[in-house]
Amino acid sequence: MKNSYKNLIIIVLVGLGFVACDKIEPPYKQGTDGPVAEQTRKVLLEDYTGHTCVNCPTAAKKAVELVNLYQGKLILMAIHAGYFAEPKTAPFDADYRTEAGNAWDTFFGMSAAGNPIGMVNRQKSQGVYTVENGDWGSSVAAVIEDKASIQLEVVTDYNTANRSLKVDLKAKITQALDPALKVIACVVEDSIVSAQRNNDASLGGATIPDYVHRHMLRESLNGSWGEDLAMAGQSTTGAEFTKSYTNSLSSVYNIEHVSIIVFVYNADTYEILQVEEKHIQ
Amino acid sequence: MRKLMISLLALLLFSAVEAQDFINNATVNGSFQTDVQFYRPDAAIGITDSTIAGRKVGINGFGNIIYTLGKFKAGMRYEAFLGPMAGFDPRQEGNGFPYLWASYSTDLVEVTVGNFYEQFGNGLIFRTYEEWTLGYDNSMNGMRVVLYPMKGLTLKGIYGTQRFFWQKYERNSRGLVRGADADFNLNDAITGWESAGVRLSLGASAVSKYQRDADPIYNLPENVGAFSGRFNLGAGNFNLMTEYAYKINDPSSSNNFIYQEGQAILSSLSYSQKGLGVVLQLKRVDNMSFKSDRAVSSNALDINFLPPINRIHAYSLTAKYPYATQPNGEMGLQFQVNYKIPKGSLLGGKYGTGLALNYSQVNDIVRNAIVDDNSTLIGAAGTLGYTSDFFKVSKHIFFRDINFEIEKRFNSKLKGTVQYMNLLYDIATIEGHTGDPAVEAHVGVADFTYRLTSRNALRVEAQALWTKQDEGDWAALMAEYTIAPKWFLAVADQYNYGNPDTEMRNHYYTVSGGYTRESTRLALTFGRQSEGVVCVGGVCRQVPASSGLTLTISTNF
Repeated sequence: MKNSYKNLIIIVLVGLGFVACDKIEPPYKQGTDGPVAEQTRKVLLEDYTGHTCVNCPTAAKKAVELVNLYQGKLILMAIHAGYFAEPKTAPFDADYRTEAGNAWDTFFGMSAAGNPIGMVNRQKSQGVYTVENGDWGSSVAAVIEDKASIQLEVVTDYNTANRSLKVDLKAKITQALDPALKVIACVVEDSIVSAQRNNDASLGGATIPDYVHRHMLRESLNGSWGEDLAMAGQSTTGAEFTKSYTNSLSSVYNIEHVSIIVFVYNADTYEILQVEEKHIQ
Repeated sequence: MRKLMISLLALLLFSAVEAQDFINNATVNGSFQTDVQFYRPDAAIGITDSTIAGRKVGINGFGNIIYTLGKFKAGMRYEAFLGPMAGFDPRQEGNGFPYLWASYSTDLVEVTVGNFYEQFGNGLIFRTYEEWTLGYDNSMNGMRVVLYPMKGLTLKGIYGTQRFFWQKYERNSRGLVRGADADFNLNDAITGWESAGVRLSLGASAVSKYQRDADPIYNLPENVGAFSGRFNLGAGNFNLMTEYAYKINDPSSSNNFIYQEGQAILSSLSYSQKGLGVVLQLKRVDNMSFKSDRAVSSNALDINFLPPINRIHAYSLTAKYPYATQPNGEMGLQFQVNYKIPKGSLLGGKYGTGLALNYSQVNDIVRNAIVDDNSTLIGAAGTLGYTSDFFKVSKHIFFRDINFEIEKRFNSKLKGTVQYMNLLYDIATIEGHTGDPAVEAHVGVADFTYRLTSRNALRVEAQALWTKQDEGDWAALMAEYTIAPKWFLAVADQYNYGNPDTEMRNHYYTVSGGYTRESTRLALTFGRQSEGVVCVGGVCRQVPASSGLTLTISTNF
């Protein structure tokens, strides 16, 4: 009897030693698999951020790393919304919030879940839209090879003299879709230099006065929720839909850094089916 | 899960157990609680109709029921956060049965299916628990087997997934947790040692999590193992407990994706005799955040628990700046002495006088750059991160609390407690207020209770907090009238009279009353709560100020 106890203890102790472990040896980062095929759907990564959010620069760095990794297949848009985007005393007196950004932030429950936070193609997973920045990479990787059902073409015509911008977009259905589709066109400005709170020592001190804000949403050209592109059942294979917008761009924007991001989404689920970015110059 | 419960119950019904026994010999107990908050606009503290945004009521509620029939037990907990009260994570919103379980136990074995809470040792590598007031629950959903093969030996095995608000586990949506623990009490196991002067118990645990690696940038470990060993040695009035834990590389959002291994040690030496208790505790934590989803950095899905070794304060101003364990690295010490000056002595008086001294300090660990790595930056993502000398303490103090308390009964009617606290609180690290200077504060508390009659008592509490940092000075007053055992009525005010922003020098007043009968309690509070920012593991969330009426109803049976 005593022996059987001894054996049992030995079995348990040996068992404890067999707990699964994967010890990773350098290099810890992997190389790219090369560019993904052209006909795949592009992916929109939205980074919900704010200038007094100390953990946001680390997340922004990760987002840019992903954009570089996927070479044009991943489009990034940083949305300043929520408590940490509110203007405070200088140097945080700028207000980068937008009507559309605020509406999305509230509707998708972004800053309420804590910043930094993001969305990948506005896909809902397990009941929520939010994706924590540690999951941005794997969430993007999960959809980046998906086949596109829509081809988007964006043509911009910018008049330097009066700062007027004309955007023409053409959406061609390459694979029939049942739901109604909506489209949103946004103005995004890259490399805005403005103060940011930070706790990533590799980027700077607690306040970085000349932080470079990347891919910042400036405004929507057609409202927070866009407009109808196709009614349910209209999106048969080969169908084409066009839209056109004219807008006068604010003198605050540095035109060299402005681009237009257009995305088409499923009107029922909000999932983004295709996205395109076009620099206006 | 529900099907499983029904099958188990059906099995019981139609096998050896008579249907009558199922009802007559069974016991059912449980508890219910509902907290309701009604919000109102309060412009002085920045609450308007637009900040309330139509959400005029927040309700958190639960019901817990446990059914026992001999060796069989089953239970369920219902929860409804519709919508969650101010200050709770909005992901709490939802309703349902997040906790369902059934268990069968004999002298040899105990099997639990469904949800369960469990802890190995001090929790350094595994602890699941629930804390209603914080809205925290990391319960397991899986199976647990506990074996008692011989006297003094307990073996535990667990596997499952953890609760993440209302998000159901789906394949690869988050990690799997499995683990085993052995606890061996030599005094119970060895004949003749039962009443020995020396008491010794030993324990060992191992836990592993599995989470798929789908990251395009990093090579991530899919299986992360953690191990710990512990002993508890008692001799006479002394007791020594030590646990050491080790975890292999576990890059995650919490540690900024570094591949460093994790370590933690917790040690406690205590001495106690009548009227005197002394405790010395030491702790070192290095890269020990252990979650079942590496991407989650908020306060959820923790597999382990790193116990704080600081005094948990009970008064509102002494508890205003509470320390939160820094899983990425800290070295802490706590020393506590409780002494009761005997009755009849000069200082002890007729009733004796209680004295308590508590000192705790937590510093950062020392991190050195890895020079031969591609990057020399400490803690850079995708590197080993740093090296750290186990015994070196950084000069960076996260937290220091020196407090002294005197408790005295003056006569049969009057008793009182006075407390002084000297605090150093690195708000930049603990609350994520990067760049803000550490809060240095003095806090004083006087708490007196006067018994007017055998059933009526008046308690008055006065507190003050002086600091030049953060929100500046605070004063608080509270008076509570109790008619035992059923009624209480209290009025309180916290006044932020020293706020550097003169517009924020607000009063946060509350008026509350309560009624208790048998095990049912009803309490009403009207007043204000101040705004705050909560940062856990690199994610910050604003906890808005609130104003209004709170109703709590609870009962046990």
